[in-house]
Amino acid sequence: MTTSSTWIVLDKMCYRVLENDLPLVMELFHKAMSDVLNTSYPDEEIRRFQLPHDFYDAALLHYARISPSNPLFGFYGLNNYKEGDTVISVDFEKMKIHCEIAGIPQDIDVRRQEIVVL
Amino acid sequence: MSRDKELNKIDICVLNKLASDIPQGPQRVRGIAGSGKTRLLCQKAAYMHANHPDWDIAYVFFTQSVFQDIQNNIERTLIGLGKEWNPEKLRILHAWGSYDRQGLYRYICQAHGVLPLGVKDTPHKFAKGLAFISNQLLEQITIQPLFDAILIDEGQDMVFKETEFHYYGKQPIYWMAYSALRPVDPQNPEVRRLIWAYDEYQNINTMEIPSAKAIFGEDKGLDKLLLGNYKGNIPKSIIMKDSYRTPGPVILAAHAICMGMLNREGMIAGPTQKAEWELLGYTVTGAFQKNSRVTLERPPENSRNPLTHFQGMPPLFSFNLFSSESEEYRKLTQNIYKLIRIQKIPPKNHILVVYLNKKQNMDLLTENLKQNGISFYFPGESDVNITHTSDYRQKKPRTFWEHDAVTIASVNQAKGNEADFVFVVGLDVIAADPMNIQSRNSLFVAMTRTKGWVTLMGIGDTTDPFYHEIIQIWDMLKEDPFSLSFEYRGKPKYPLDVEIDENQRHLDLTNST
Repeated sequence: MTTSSTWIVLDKMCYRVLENDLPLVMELFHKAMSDVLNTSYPDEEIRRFQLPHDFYDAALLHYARISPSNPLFGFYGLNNYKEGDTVISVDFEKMKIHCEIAGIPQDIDVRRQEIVVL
Repeated sequence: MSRDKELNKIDICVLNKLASDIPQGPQRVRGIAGSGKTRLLCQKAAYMHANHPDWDIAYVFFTQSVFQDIQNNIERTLIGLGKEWNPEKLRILHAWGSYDRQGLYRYICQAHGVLPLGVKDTPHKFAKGLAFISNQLLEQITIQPLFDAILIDEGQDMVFKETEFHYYGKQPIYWMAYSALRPVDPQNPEVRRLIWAYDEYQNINTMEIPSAKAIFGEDKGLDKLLLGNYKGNIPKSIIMKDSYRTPGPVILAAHAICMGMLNREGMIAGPTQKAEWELLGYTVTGAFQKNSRVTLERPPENSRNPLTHFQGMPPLFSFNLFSSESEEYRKLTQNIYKLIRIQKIPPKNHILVVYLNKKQNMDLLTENLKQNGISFYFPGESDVNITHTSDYRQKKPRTFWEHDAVTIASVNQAKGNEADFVFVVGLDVIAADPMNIQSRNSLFVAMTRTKGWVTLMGIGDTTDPFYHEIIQIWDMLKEDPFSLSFEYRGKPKYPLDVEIDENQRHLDLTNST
């Protein structure tokens, strides 16, 4: 039996979410979203560039408070998700988080890349 | 394969041949950041010492904190060769020296019964100060030969464009070293074993290149000393285009920013010939003709660090802008906290902050770090969490890292050192004067200290043309980490076609004989 995985799409790349408790993950992401909503940026362009990284960092920090010795995300941006995996995407225009259980949503632009294992 | 294993492989397979080639005269080693110039030079010094134990050899450096690295490299090579090190015959000398440490200038002065001058005796700082007093020494005495070989590391830092520092059209530090060398062959007294390594893009003093002409002047054909090969096909000029330290996309970003490729008015400095780009490890599509589109690709095989292929979070190269200094340093502290406390990265040897502004600007950062229980170290100071050591006797000029502390260094101090995570702060200094090529080169030096990730940080917004350049570069590298395109708007202010210049002189020489 194959188990499904959870992914988050940031900056056109999929990162594996290593925490299995999905409600907890969503709570963390909402907290991270709230943090970045309160962050001021010098302008819209730099905001667009920095938001995915700041969101990622904020989620990491929140998770570290709960589970200091476990990583929240996989290190590499990968694209080896499969049908049935949970894919979380963040719309930084509308500042909303989407969660799809049935594979990658069609409207998400994910960069197809070769996976390099180091 | 780990980086150390990669480097060990190089020791055996690639560098040995170049290191064991002992030139019969001057030799120049030109290499991009992280290409292993220091390693090669150390190996060369060790090979010469092992094979000619009677020779007097000096290895000359300028950045104090790289001393240990040089010593380790030489020691390691000598152990590999099964030879003992005689420190009376192979000396590691700071270019200048101080009251308690020998230096090339100081050694030459003492050998000639001249009182050596110190930093307080010159109105100029750093290498310029040394150039100033070397000039005085050359005027004062005729230097007698003392060495059989001198190897100069970080050679780009000891050349100056300003004629006030020149000694009859020559670079005084180099000329002082050259004058202290014994001729290789008494029949050709001008041929002496001066070997120097440099990277023109790491020059933070000037855009002068340590070419044969710049160093030796044009007297007696000395400017042509680097043309061709020595007996045994030993090259007079070595070019190292592969970087072992810095991942490919970071090298590409650093070159693009330092040369101002995306500058609104056009490229500011850099090669204008395809052949010259190829020597730096790039392939070029398009022509260097006014208003043409040029695409530069840095093939991953020219960047041996395996992280070159990394695509993930954080990106290898990233850029943060802030509205104020307090926000900048709060965010930086947060990033450092994340690395140390969450990702369990030990700060020593791994986390480096390089500031382009002034040391006093770091007060806000150190306060933030203290509040978060993170130790910091300013190179040369007596201990961690000390911003200024009042008693100079307690200073540690050769220390760059301290246990369990993040190092916060100026560009000058950071030279020759490396870390996995590098944060460059104070980009606003360049934004305020974007045509200043020395500032851009400083940023290049700072960025290429990384063995992994680099984050640039500054204050301002993207309407600033310099920041806009960086944003464009970041955007392009997100799409393709190995190539960049730009509009070539015409000859840059500082065209750097080094080999073409040397070859042109070669052609002139061939035609005239």
